[in-house]
Amino acid sequence: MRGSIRKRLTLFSIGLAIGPLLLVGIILAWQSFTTQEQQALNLQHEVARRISTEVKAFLDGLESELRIVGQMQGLQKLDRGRQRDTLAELLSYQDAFESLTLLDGRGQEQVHVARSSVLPIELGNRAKADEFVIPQTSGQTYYSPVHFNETTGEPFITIAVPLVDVRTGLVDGVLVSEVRLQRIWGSIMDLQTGRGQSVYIVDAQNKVVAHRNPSVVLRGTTFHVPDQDGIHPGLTGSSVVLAVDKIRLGGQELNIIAEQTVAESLALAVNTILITMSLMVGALVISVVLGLVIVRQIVQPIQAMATTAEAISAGDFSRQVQVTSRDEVGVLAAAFNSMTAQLRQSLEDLEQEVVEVRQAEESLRRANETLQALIDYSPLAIIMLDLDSHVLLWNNAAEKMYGWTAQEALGQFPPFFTEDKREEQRMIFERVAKGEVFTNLELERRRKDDSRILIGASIAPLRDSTGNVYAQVSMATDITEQKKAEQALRESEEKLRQIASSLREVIWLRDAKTRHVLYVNSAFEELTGRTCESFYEDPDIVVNAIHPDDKERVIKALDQRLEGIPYNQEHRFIHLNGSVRWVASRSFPVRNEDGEVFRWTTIMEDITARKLAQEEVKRLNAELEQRVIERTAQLEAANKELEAFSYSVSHDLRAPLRHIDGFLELLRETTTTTLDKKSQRYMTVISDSAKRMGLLIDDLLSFSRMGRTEMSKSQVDLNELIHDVIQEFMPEAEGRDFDWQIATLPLVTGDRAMLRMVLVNLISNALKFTRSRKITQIEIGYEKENETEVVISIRDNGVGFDMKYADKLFGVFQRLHRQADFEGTGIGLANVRRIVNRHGGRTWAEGEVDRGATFYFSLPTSNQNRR
Amino acid sequence: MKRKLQPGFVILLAITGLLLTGCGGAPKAKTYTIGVVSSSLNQENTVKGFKEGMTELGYAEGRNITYIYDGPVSADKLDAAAQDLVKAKVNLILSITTSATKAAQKATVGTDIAVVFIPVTDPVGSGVVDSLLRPGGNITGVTPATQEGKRLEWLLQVAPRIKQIYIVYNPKDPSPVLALKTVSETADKLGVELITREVGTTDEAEIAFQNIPMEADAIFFLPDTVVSARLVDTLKLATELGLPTSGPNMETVVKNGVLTAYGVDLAVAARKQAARLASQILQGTKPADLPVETAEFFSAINLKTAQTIGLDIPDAILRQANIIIR
Repeated sequence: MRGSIRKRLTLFSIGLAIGPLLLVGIILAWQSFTTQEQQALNLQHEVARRISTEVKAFLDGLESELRIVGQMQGLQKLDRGRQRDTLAELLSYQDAFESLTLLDGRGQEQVHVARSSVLPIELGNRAKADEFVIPQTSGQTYYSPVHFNETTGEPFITIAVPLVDVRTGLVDGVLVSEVRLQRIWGSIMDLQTGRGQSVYIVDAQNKVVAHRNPSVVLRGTTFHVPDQDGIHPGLTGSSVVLAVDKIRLGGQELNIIAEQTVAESLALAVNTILITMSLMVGALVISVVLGLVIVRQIVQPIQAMATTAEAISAGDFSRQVQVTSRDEVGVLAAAFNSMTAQLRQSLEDLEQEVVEVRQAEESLRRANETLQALIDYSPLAIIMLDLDSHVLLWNNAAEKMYGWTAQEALGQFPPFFTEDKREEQRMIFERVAKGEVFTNLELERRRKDDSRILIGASIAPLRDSTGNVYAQVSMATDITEQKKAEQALRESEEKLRQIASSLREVIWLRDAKTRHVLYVNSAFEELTGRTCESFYEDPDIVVNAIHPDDKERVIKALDQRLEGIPYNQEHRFIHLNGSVRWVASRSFPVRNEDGEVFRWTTIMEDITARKLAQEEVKRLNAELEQRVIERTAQLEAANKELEAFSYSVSHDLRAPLRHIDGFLELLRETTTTTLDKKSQRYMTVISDSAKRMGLLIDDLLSFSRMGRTEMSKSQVDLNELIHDVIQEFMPEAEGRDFDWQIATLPLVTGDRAMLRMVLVNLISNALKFTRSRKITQIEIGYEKENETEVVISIRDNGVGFDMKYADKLFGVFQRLHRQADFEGTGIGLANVRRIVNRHGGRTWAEGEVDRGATFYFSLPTSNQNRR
Repeated sequence: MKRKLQPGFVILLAITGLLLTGCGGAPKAKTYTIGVVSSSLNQENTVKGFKEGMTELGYAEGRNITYIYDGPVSADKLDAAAQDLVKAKVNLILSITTSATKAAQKATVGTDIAVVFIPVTDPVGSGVVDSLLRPGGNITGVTPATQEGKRLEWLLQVAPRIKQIYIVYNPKDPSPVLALKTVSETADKLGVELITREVGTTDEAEIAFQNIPMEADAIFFLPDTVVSARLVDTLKLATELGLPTSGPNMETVVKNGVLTAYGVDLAVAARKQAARLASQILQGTKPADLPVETAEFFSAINLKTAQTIGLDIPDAILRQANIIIR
């Protein structure tokens, strides 16, 4: 059904509009086309005719020129030179001629001039050639077929005119010319042609001999001339309107062709057809649009009502017929829509009611479920009794708590009542039935296994919609274990209290938040002189009794314990009787399960006796120290005095000694001749002794000086120093064989000059006491004894010493060898010890007679050596 | 229903629009670049003629055509000059002289750049094209054809007493070599003797011309780039010596004062023929389909020069000349 009315109406309206238009368009286009074609053909005819006229005139002109030259000038009668000059002049005058040849009556070439070739040496005979035979026999001009230069492709035509003897009237020669058809290209080139138009000449052999584009001719283009004028494929192959005009030249024929592309020549006709078609399309569009609009106005309301009715029957009551017209269809549609709306409203109301009922049912169901879940999974035993005390409800927790199952209990009198409490229970029942509510009841109950339990319970009445009590409900929990635990705790606390009260140390417990004293033991009263009650009443009593000098420190420490710093203080405390006690108090937090401090425990111990003892020790130490200082000062003074004394003695001894030596020298000079040898020998001994005594005094002085000189400390490279010292001794030791072994020595802190003296003395000793050895072995070693000192050793293979004299070695003027064997004053090693001691080091030696000796000295590392 | 109607309506409107407007539009004006490579100092009029011809065909310089031409270059720089034009991506190269054409031909190998030459005396003999009618390759142009024999004949017509003719030429340039072949053949026919000198440079040419042999009766200039460079000085000397001369083209007679010439007017040939060929190529015709065209040739006499050297020319001969400089 759908579309059938519309389709028929649409087709009818379009047909009505298009039919006449199509007919008119076709007739108009056809007429325009045929007219245009004829006009185009006429135009091409005209062009072709014009060109053929020009070509004909051009060739006729050439023929005339040949005849004039041949006839008027009486060419045959002239001598060869004149003939040649005449022809050459014609050649240069008329550049259409490529060459001119004069033939005599027998066809023999008389003169030949050519434009582009040099004179042939020998002239030929053309008696049998057409260009001679035809003019000779017929007296007519001869035209040859068009021929082409093989190299250049240029077209030529031969024109030969007969030469007639004026007296005899007979042909007595022929003038033959080669004509360049190229000269007629100009006519075509000069022709004003329209768009897409082309004019060209085709010879009898279908070859193009002239065209406005010379390349077309030169490349030997061919074209088959159609028998009739009209629309044909043109020279380039595209469709053209083409017209041909023919020229006859003697026996030859040339086709002059004018053509124009169809697109150009029939442009007007094509445009007419296009416009007609456009108009038709336009009309089609308009008619379709108008037709559809009309069809729509008629068909749409009916169709809309049909569609809506289908939808409503399928259950879609929201659909409305969209018709706005005021005609009959509009009224029908409005009534239809009103009916549909009423139907829809009724349906919607019904649906709403159903939804509300469903929602109420759902709420109720959920409430019931919630209540049931609460009862089933409650840890409380929930029991409901009617007014006759029959069990109505007995939940899982009740089963677990009493041992009876719900099945056993329901409808029965509650089995858990003990005989002795029946009266109490009855009274509670009565009061609940009157509407009273009981909470936190503690009641004794019997279990199924006859054991007794203590329960905590709440009992409330249940009322109906009129407010009358119809049942009671109780919720209970087993508190037997809880009660036992409370009892145990109480007992445990009592024990602790007893222990605490027997201690000598004071212990108290405070609440962390309120600072209230929760507990204090009896030792408090003895230590402070105050009662425990006073402490409970005034928690600040302890702080207030702290000695004023210590109070600030203690309060600060008390505050810091809140930041986690342990509180552990010793301070003075003023007893109620005014006496001062030393106490040690410690405080530590008590934390709950969450780790929060909720109490502070403090222990206070009386340490007065210990404090007094410590004070006494301190006092005694101070006294001792003072005594040591004083004693040391006395010793230092005595030492200084001694040193000053020895210095002045040594110094003062030098003056008389110099006198002795000086005057002895004078005496020797004056008595050389008078005194005998023996006396002189005595004088020498005296002099030597004096000198030796001088040396001893010098050394003594230097030793003394060594003890007093200020030390100038710096970093000293022992390595460098030892090599320096050895270098110094080498001249003295010249001629001896050495085996030196020197370890790498450390950097030390000390007085460079003094340390040098130490090394000089030790190495000089080593050299001295090895003098008798064939090869002197000296080994200088170094080891780091510990973190605090380094030890340097100097070992030799010399005469050595007996270890029992080892202590004496470093003494002043101590010598183990005879002066005659080994010179020396015995001061060197004393100096070594003094210097090393001043650096804070030690000196010692090891040796064996005749097996060498080793001398050691130590130095503290870095800044540890003292003055 | 309303929505169903719209697409159909739009399509119909579009078809109508296409039919009404689809009748073609104006073609877009294209611009072209033509490079010129020349080795001859005496061919400036040829270039000028070519440009005039192009203008007549609708190519206005600066509007839709640009020329790249820095004047003639010496033979050794031709290759580079031609390569420069290829690099500049010109649409077409106009080559003047055989050497320049060979250079252009070499440089455009492998490109789609066409070459139009003018003049190449013997395009086939010098290997520029396969044949005049079917050039092949990317090259075509205008040849003056070898009128060198006819030119010798014309000189002898004008000055019949000549017995020995002095010719200086560069054997490495194909143009004079080819021309000399024809001249020699014609000389044999006409019974005159040629005295030839080979030179490689303009300096050598100058020396050769300063030492014109005593027995020489005339000087015959071949189309030769090296020798042409000394043309003016040589003419002065020839005039002093009273020697008739023959030049390779019209311009030598018209402009330089050579006594005779028999050949082409290159300026005209460039304007009428070379420009037309170039235009056809620019419009899309393949050079291979454009036969090499032969230029029109003319006979010329410079009467002033004849008078200067004391040569009396009969009227009959004068009447045969196409161009007379009086």
